[in-house]
Amino acid sequence: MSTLRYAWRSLMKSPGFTSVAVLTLALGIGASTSIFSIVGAVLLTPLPYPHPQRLLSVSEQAPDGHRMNLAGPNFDDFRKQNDTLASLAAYGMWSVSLAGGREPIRAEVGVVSDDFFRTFGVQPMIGRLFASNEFRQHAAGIVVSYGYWRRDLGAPADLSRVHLSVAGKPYPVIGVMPADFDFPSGASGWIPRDPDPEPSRTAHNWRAVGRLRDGVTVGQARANLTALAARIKAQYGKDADLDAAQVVPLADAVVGDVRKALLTLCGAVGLLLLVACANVAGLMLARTSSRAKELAVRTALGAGRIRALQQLLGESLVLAAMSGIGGVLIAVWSVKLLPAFVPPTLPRREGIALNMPVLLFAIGVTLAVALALALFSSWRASTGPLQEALTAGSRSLTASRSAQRMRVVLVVGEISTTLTILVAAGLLGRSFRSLIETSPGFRAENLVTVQFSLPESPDANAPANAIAQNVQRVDRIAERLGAVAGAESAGVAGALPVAHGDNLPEGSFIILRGQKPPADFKGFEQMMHDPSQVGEALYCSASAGYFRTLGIPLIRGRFFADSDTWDSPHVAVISEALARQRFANENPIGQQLEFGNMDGILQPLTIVGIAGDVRAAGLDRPASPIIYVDYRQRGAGSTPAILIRSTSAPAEMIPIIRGVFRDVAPDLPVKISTYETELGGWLAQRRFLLFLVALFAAVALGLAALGIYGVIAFSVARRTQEIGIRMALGARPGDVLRLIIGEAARMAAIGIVIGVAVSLMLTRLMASLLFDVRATDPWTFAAVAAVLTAVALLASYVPARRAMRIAPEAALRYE
Amino acid sequence: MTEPIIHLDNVAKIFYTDDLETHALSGVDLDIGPGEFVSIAGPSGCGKSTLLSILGLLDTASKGAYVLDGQPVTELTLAERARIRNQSIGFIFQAFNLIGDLNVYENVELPLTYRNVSASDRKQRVQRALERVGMAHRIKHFPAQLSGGQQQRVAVARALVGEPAILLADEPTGNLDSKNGQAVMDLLREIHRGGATICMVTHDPRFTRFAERTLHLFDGRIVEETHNRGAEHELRESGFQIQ
Repeated sequence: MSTLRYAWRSLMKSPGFTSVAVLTLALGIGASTSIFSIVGAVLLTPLPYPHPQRLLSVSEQAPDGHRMNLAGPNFDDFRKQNDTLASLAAYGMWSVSLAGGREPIRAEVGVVSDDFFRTFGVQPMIGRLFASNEFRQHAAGIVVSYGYWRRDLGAPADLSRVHLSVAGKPYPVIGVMPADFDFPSGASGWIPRDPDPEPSRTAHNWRAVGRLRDGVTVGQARANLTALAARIKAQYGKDADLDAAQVVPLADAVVGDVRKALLTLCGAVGLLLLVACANVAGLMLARTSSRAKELAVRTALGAGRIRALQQLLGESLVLAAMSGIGGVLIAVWSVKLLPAFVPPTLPRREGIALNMPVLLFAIGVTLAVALALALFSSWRASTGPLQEALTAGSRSLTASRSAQRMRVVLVVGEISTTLTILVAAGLLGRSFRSLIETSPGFRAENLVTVQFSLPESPDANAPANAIAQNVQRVDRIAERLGAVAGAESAGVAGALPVAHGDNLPEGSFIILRGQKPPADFKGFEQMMHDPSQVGEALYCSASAGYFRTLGIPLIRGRFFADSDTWDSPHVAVISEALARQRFANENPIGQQLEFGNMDGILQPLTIVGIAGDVRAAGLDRPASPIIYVDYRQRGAGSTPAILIRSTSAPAEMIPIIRGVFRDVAPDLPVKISTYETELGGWLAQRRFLLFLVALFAAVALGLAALGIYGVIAFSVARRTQEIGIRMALGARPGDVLRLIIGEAARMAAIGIVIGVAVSLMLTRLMASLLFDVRATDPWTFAAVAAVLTAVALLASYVPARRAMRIAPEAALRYE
Repeated sequence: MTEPIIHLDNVAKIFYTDDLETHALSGVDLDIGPGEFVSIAGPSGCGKSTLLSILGLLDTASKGAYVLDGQPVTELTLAERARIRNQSIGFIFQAFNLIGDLNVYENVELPLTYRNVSASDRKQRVQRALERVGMAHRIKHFPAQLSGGQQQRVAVARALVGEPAILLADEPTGNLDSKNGQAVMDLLREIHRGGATICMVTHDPRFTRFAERTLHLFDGRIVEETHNRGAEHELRESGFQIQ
């Protein structure tokens, strides 16, 4: 205790050293704790269900290895025939209009099979779950989420009189799930899955979640379901396109591709902590050197070696404890700020908090830092300046030289570590810049987006009527919005392109090449057996105004026209990418396609035009093959979008458009935004990663600069006499400046060489996070090396200037 | 009369500390001719080292004029003073002042690195200077590996390597035992016999006899000047002219 008290007193006597060291370490500990609060919530916290490790995500695997959703009949076979799962449930997410609450909203509703809630092992907070027979009834009921129940229904305890309208159909509310049940993420409610009207083994519409039986491993379940997949393939041949089953722990599936980004963040913050520790170790060395004489005197007075070491250890502990407290305070502050920065697409973001595991992590890091500094101090004391001071008495110059060498090693380490973080930030920055500079294939500025839900989706049994109603409603809205002052043009589409990545549905189409179109979906499946006439494309229902509004160029043929009606031959416009892929040596105009699997309408589509390419699946993906269908012929679906090109700032038009929309369709849930905001949402995850890595890089750079400054300043102090001698022998101020800055340049050069070698190995691990830039991009490496060199030279300039002003006659008297 | 290589006219040096004004030198007039060996003696704090610093352009006079080798040097810039120090003055210090991180060769080479001298020329001149002081066999050694006497011989070589017009020695034997002190003084005498102008601060009366003239400083003034006839005689014997 007295050791700690003395350590405290001793640190308080050096407020400069103590505050810099505490602030440096607190930054490192605070940053790592903040990142751990994210990583802990997203990657490490078990899913909030009983025995979460037994929950699995089950998918089909195509022969080329890519993951596919389950086809209904395949799911049924998996469920009935497996002997490794206690339960297996199918689910899908439906974007619909949900009315009956505070106001109609465009909501995500889970469509689930009967074992869904049992698989998770959860019970409703209020009411009940679906009974088995309710899966055969139409609109039997809806179970709502806790959030929707509280926010939109006003948290009624009695559900008997609460009814909702889901896509225009009435559903009684039968239960409310607990607050921590959020699967699929963002679902406002769950309704029973209807049986497939036309079961197909190639219509991959369902995701699946399973629960392992006791004592069964994930690998065993995977082998079991893959064997079933092989059996299905053998039995159904070309009617089934699966090759194997993909079975992964549900926790991994939920996190998905965010894992790599978070691990990159962990790496960056870990390196930052290393830089901070190296910095403080350097400061401690300088302090130990300057106290070598004091320690020697204490030893001479009988303090004993252990006592001297105890003192250093005590100081390390007190320093780390103060830094730990500072780090937690920084983490408290940053965790409060994080929700404003964390992308809304980050899974499990609601769990980010400064909770007990995060605090334990902070304590763990603090103890690790204390231990590292204590070990370093002890090691230096047994081999470095203290030992020399103790044994050699006044030979403090030799002692300080040895400490200085160690400090140089530490700073070289800081420079190389900082370079690695800077390179990561540089690569992410270049990727981000490339992304935002990548044209989506149309003019993205000055676009207002209006996304809304219609009550009734097109009815496959009476498509003409359903589509007519759909078109009539959308037309009326589009016409009113297009007439708003400041609106240059308006277009209708089934979904927004690019902004939400995979918003446009993808499916297989058939090139008819003179064949009669299939009479039904059985015939469609038959025709799919010939791979030479099958292609893959995104499906986009659009109006003629859509191309004009977005500025998508016409390459050949024509866009949609007023003459294209339900009764006239159905037409399609294809993208250039599709024309290149499937019609490389022929004219696609006039060719007939069958794409009825996407909208349930088997009337063939005649290609009438080729449109310019659009990166519809995301700016980081190549231009997608797209088949545009005329929404007046095929409908705009239940969640259409209207895009309005404005002549003024689009944000200013939002309130006007909202007013007009409320006037023309008061019952429809709507989201009105700008295209740039929507695209910003898509970029948010990358922006978040870039922001944090760049922040860590900047802090690391600052710490490295501080380290370089410290070493050079100490070096100048140590070399005062040498500089005086050199000046006496004729060194000009410029020679002294070169001498000192040269020392920093040498450190920077060694650090850069080591850092480049390390970075070349490490940045490969983040290759999948990059776009349009290689992980070994020489320009990024060169720019980072130049920045580090400049910072090193700048950091050494102040002490170098001081060295230039050394008076030689005074320096020669310097002891 | 031969033009003096050093000419001081009414030189004074005043140090200002807080509200205190310390007159380290007052009204110093001094001429030193080429090839002369002058020693400066006096008690501690009398201004010996200050005078040597001004002579070596390490410090500036507060008042008065200083002409070195015919050139007024009072108003020179830092860089010009550095150039003259490098080309015209050689220093030998009491504490040797070798640079611990450099080996013997590098220490001696140092003054030449501040001039445009080619590497091969530097090598020859360093070799020659080290041979002259008998240290050519220690070129790879670091100062810490040498005795005090050897370190001072290396320091003398460093002072000589640039072939300066004047050699300034500040208590060159102060940190040496009597045997090594004697050896260094013998070396200086030999250098002087070779024609070098030497100005040496010492408080050791045994070594003042090596100089032809001794200036006695007290409270910053030259209070007495004595001539060492023996030394003068020795020089005349060697064919030198004494003023």
